[in-house]
Amino acid sequence: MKKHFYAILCGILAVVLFASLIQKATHLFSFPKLKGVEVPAPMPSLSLKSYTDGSFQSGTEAYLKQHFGFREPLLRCYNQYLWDFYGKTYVTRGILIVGKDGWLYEPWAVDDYYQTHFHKHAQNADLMKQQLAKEAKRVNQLQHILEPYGCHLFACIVPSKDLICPEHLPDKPVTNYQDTTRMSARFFLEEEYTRLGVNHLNLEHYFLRIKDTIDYMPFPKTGTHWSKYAALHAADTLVRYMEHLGGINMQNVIVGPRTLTDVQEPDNDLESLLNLIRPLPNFKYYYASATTDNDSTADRPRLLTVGDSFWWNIANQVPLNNIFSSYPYWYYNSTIYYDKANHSVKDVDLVHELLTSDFVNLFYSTTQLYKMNNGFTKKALMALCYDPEEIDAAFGRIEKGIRADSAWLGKLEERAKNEGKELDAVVHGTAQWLIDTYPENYFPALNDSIPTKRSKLAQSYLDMDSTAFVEMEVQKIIREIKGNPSQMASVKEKAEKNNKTLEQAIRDDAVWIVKRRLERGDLQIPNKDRSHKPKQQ
Amino acid sequence: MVFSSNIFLLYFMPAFFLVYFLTPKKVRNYVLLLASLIFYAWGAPEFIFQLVGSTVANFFLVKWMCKTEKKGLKKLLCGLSIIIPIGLLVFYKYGNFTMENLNAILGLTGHAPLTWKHIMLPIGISFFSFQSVTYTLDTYRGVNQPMEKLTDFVLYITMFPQLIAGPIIRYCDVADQIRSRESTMDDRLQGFFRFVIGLCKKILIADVIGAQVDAILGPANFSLLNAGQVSDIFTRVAALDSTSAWIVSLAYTFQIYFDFAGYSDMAIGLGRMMGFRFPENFDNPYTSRSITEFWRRWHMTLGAFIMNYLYIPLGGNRKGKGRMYFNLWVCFLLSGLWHGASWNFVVWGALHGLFICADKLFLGKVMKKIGTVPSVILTFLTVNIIWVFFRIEDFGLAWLLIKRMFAFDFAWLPFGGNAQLYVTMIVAALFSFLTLTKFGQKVQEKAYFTVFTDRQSIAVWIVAACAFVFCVAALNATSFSPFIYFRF
Repeated sequence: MKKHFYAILCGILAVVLFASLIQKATHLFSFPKLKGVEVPAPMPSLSLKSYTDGSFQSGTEAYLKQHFGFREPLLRCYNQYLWDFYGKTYVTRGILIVGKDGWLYEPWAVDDYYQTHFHKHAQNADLMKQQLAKEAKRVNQLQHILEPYGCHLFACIVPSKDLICPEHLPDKPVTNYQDTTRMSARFFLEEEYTRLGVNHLNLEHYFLRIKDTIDYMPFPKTGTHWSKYAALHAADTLVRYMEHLGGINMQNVIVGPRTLTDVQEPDNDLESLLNLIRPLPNFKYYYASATTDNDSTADRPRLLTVGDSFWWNIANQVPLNNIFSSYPYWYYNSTIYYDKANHSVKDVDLVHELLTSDFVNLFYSTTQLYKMNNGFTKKALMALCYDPEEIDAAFGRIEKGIRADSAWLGKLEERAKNEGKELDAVVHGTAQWLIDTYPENYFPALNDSIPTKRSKLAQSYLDMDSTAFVEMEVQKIIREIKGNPSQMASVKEKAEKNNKTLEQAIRDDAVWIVKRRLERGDLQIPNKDRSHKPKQQ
Repeated sequence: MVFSSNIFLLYFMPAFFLVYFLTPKKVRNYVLLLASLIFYAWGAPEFIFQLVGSTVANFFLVKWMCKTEKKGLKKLLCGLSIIIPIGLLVFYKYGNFTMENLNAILGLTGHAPLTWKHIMLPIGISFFSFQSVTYTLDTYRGVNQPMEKLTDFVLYITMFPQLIAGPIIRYCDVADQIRSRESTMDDRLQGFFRFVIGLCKKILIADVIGAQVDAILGPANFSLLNAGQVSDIFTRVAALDSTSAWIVSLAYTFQIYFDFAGYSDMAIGLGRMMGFRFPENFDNPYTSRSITEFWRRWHMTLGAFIMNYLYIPLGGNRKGKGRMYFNLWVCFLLSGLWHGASWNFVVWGALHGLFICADKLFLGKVMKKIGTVPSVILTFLTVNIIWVFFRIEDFGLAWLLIKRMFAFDFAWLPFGGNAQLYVTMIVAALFSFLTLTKFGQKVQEKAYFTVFTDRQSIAVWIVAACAFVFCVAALNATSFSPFIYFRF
């Protein structure tokens, strides 16, 4: 009897031990997915090298952390335990700080309020100020370069939660940084923008001014972005600002009747990261829908937005297609949304995108200002002032310099070996880093207060020279073909077949591609009238 | 592979026990051997051949040593058999340390430094080297006969429950169990229970407390940090009030105990599930009334090893008092060095040696006179302060922390009133000092050593299963840190 009893206990114990494996293999039970975005850990491939250097093992362990049976309920249970017993969450280590009265903040918002945020990103405040001053200068340069093209660049500074709702912040910064030379980018950048005459709209002032007079919450208790309702009002202000800046008439944003309801996504985006079993007690929030006034005489300019996630609450609520002819959104200057043709910033024709826009909106919240527009201004200035051949030549010079310096090259060889990369790729990557970090050192025109040098392509837009423009495009395609081995092989074959020289065959192909793009409307010859007259509906 | 990982808890362990218990008893040692090699090869693939190679070499050397009648050759073979594991230990563990110090001396004397390639430390080498030595010496001394089967000897050295962090098992303690052992259902249940107790100590106490320690003191080894990060750590520690400084040092004192004792519990539990009876490694060390007693309760298998294979061969207390103090110091200096190749470990060992000598001279008598509670508190605080040198490699930082502890600049509820830290430290203190009471001793006896009745078994099973699941949840929840959106 006793033997059976123990056997049953041990059997059940075995089931407990195997439960996760069984669930993983069979998905016997289904659970709601965990909220939030994790950096996915892919299952590594097994090879002798990956095994002996340990990357297979560490990769597998990382993969198994994200993929095991009953992960969702187990994590939710433990999170609920931590929250109920200690009012705490392990998510705090990455992205979430619990403030007073259960208000949730992102850690960088807390640090930014206490002005300790930048010490994580720059060795000292002076260095950070130098970098920000340079960035403000670049924005100013870009604004002036774009003006003759009828493109209005402006910076929209969006307040983070800490600035509008500081009363619920924890008493201390998250970072234990003791440096007394504290600073915040928002003060310094705004000063610089004002001094240089950069177009900018600081919505922090707007919200602080109205905070005591409004009956809605600009920022939700358990979310990090401005509330959906506040974003609608901000959108209206933004459109008014663009009208003023461009001297045009645009559609008005009309905020519909509001209703007071339970919190809706994404106003609880920070709460969702807690991944609890029970929802947190929360306030009621106002929600409304937005329309436009269908003014048929209104201009529909093209808006290019480069910014952070605060734009979502505008883009997802306001019918931007009524207001703008197109409104691509370059999220952190990396992924492109609301643009059918392009998905990644690295693939777009930067000059074309800029010079066919009526407004360029640098839309960053105060905690993200230190990212200096994610390199957008540097790349844009280089593309507008220098030809691709000149940029390639700068790369060539830097790479040659690196290869001539045996100590430097030795270090890069070691890095290539450690990272399992080709030396050429590491040398090129280093040159890329140098150009990205110190563009002014390699492209002297960028040191001018307002550069007058233009790339041939940018000049062709000014001159409205369609022949020059087409030739620019042809040259661009020729470079692309030459850089693509499979395309080159195909062209070689064609050249032999048609008894042409290789160069002629490449050019013929490039001309054909440009013609096709022009026919399909993928490529537009600069319109002389566009820069002065906003598009009509 | 470590015990407190998903791959071990959810994959390796269930799969291993399934195969192990489904195979006939005769084959089980081979299953365990294979699993142990897989276990080691997972974490240290580049060293598996050295481990197996040196073990095989030792097996044949000892066999030869036992067969030969020539005394000189016997001694030579014994020496060779010790030099192989100890040589590997010295090379891998102290190679970098030796070169760094040599270069420092060369630098001081104006000579160019020698170049060398940084040597990776094979995991568990400190433990399996010592086990190999116990086999050689016990066989040489005639305490036991040599193993007949090579696979049994390789199994003794590489057995996965104790391979990475002990306990250091003397060959004579486990030889018979390797040849033949019984694993009853009760063993499996109790073993699992013990394993879960260890897992809880590690995940629910040591890791929780350790997170706060790391947040203040940074990593133990500063070589991975840049100058700015090191400067930040100094700034943080300099800004600590005395309460925080004491909390940090106490937190580490509890962390290291629950981490190490937890690992030993897991090892003992896993062994028990297979029918092994591994020696205990900790016996409530923080209830000690003197540093001498502390060393009878802390890492007991290391203490026994040092006593049997170092202190006594050095002459112990048989060659006069002066020699005894010298021997004690040597033992503790080497014990410090065994814990890590760095000067802070040497200082840690030297301080313990100092207090042991002081115990023998006068302190032991004083401690006895002042009564149990004061002597336990004083010993605990002494151990706590000495741990600072164990945790912090940089002497400047260690001294700074100690200065902050004695700055008498106390504050109320520092660390933002981190309730989880405080609750966990209270729980840790409770378990650390529980056995000072009779009730505590009973609880421990019941949990660790009593054969359960049927009803108790059900209760134990429920507790163990729930705690296991909870630990898995905690293990994974602490590393789950999602973002709202992807960022760039």
